[in-house]
Amino acid sequence: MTKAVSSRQTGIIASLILFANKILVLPSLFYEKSKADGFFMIAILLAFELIMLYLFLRVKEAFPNDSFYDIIKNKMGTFAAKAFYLILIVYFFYKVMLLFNIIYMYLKVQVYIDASYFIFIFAFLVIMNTSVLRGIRPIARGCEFFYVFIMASLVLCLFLSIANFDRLPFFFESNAKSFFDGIFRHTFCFGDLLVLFVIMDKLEVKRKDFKRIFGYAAFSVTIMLIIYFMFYSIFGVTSFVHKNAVSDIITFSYRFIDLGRLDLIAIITIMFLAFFQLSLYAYAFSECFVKIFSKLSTAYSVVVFDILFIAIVLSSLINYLVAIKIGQEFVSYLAILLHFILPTIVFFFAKKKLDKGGEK
Amino acid sequence: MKKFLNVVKHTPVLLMLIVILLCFFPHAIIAPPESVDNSIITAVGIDKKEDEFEVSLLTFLSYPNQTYTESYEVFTSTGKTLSEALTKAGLQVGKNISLFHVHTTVISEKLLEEDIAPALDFLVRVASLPQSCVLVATNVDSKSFLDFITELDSQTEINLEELSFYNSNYVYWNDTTISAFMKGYYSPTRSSMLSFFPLSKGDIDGIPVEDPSAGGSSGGGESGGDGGMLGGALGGGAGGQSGGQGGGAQTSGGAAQGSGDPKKVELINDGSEIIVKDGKMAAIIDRDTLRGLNWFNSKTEGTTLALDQVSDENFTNASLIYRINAKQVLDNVEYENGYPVYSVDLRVFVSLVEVNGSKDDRAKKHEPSYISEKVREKMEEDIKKQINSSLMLLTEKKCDVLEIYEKFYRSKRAETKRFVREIGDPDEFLSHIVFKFNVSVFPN
Repeated sequence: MTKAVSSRQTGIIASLILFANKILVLPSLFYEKSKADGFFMIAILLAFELIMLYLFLRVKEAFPNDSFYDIIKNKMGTFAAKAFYLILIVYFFYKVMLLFNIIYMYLKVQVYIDASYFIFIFAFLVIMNTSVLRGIRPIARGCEFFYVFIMASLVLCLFLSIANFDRLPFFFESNAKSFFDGIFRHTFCFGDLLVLFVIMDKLEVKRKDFKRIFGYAAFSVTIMLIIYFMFYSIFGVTSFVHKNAVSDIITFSYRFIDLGRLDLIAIITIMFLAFFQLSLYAYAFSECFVKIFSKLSTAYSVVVFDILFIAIVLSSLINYLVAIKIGQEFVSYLAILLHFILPTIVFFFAKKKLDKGGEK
Repeated sequence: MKKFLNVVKHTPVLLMLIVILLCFFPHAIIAPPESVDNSIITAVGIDKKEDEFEVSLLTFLSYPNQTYTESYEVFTSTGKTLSEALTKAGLQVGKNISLFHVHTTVISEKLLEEDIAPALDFLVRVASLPQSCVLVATNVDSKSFLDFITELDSQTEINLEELSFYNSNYVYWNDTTISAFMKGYYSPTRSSMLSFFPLSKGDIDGIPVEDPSAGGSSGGGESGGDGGMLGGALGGGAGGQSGGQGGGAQTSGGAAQGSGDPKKVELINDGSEIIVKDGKMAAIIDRDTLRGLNWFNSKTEGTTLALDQVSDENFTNASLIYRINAKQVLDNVEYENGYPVYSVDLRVFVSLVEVNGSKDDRAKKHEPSYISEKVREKMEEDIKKQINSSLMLLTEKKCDVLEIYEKFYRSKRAETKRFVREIGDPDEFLSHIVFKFNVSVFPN
């Protein structure tokens, strides 16, 4: 079997997908729930993301050539595998809808207030379709090519935000109930590394590269933690008003008004991130689709995806607010199964195999 | 062509690029400029008139002209709600109202009789007004103020935004944007500060603007009728009202109005600010009160301190002007016998920059580092007086703009909560604080 994606590319994919849905509206949602303790909420949830990455790497170590589907199928049966993948299809489609709506709202306000859904559908759908049809390798190479630019831009945003730093946030203002409820209700914005599980058979990851992959993910986690910290430091009690965290932390100050459109840095970075993240979600959707409907090709998955996507977006069935509501009310429950239970089960299969001194 | 198609066939990215170009390029070519459909608003004024909102928009008119000058016009509309007023304003301008380019938001004193936060909240959250835009208050209605600003810009090239930035950086030493207002509003003390730019008639060291529409022989602004577009607004009672609430502010009182050249209106930028509590005006503070507050702000440097009637071994009844070169503010909060104690150790580094006095005094040469024991004592005493006077005003108005409560809450959270429970009203916290100041002046 020809491996398509290298260890470095795997690390970069993990690094970029970790930012999905977390650096725009989520900080303000956290604030509404638990004030500045949202910083600890993100820290905990990101720690779970790193745990999921660890589980993935161990699973990959135990089953270097198997697909995620095959592992579940071999250990739990075809029905369980199909059932899990059906849930994953819904999950990844929801992730696409959520990310698309967040990006749409962001770009509409920041770039083109009169933009209709149609323009954004066209712009993103073409990218997603091409990415899915061309396979994971071009996506990975694209991620690799733009990685330095994206991360450098985010670091620049953080650097510029220092000028707006006001004071340390007020921590420990929320109670335990709202804090943990907040964590639970917002798990829908996490679990992005599930993409790695779904494409694991296309990744060439060796044990010696685990630290490197972990390093990429840890770098993203660090940047996100700093973004959250700066966000709550800068906006304090008005954090709930600011829905575009990474843009707002560099542009809100009157000191920067004369410097023009500084938010262009954030806008371009977010656009690149969104293109790659949506492509990865769409690819994961397609992978799950093809595994369930094994007689259908990738092209069919693209057609189904497009029909669903266009119909739902144009009918406004799932808009920005609905997507977040669905996430808080329903997907959070689903997330427990997909983010914690499923990877843990597979991890135990892997551990058992590794303990037996199986394939390495 | 065949070769090109072959290349495209084998390069899907190129194909995608062509598709995107085909879809977007024609639209981009034929689409009219955004400024045709959307207005470019650079400043917005909000007023309340007979239970209706009045919105004034300083609009940049993007029409070509042969003089290459920027053309601005103020459009005003009213509505029961802000959204209705903005919609009506769109009818006047003939374009969609977009507030993305707004740098300044003006509110009148009259509006400050009510909580202004809901109006600002609507503009920020719904109408996309940038939170980084400067928020200023004035003593006239905001439409007249925007008219004045337009004239000011065209006659003197001074613009309000630059004045606001200067004040923020060198006079107030704090942020006076909508964001800063909102932060204060939603803070536990619910207090914030706004820039205050009153308009006045007469020569009182303001920035003068000739009112082009004023009648030449009118009797000044008292009547309000013949005072012209700008002067008319000053004929009403707004100025007198602000003078009454000012707690000593001399800038906006009605006394100054009506004197001087009737065709001349002045913008008074003397560093006064408005203290706002719960979104409503609590007091206007003058430059002296502001100086007292600025002693708590370690950022304030480069200001001056004037000592009158100084007599020591070198001077006799001289006025000495010292420049504050640097400052260290070390504050500490603690509870003593159950009461909150706020101690400030203020270390001020000064240099002598100006001597006004008798011929003998002026003739003497003095090093910038000159400071006698008497001068030092007087300076320390003056600083304490300024601080006490400012704190009295804050305590009286229950406006903790210095965020002293927050300092206690950060350092002694449990004790502060308990103390606030005991006194019942969080607004009374400031009046229960025991202030201890230790001021030390050093030559620099």
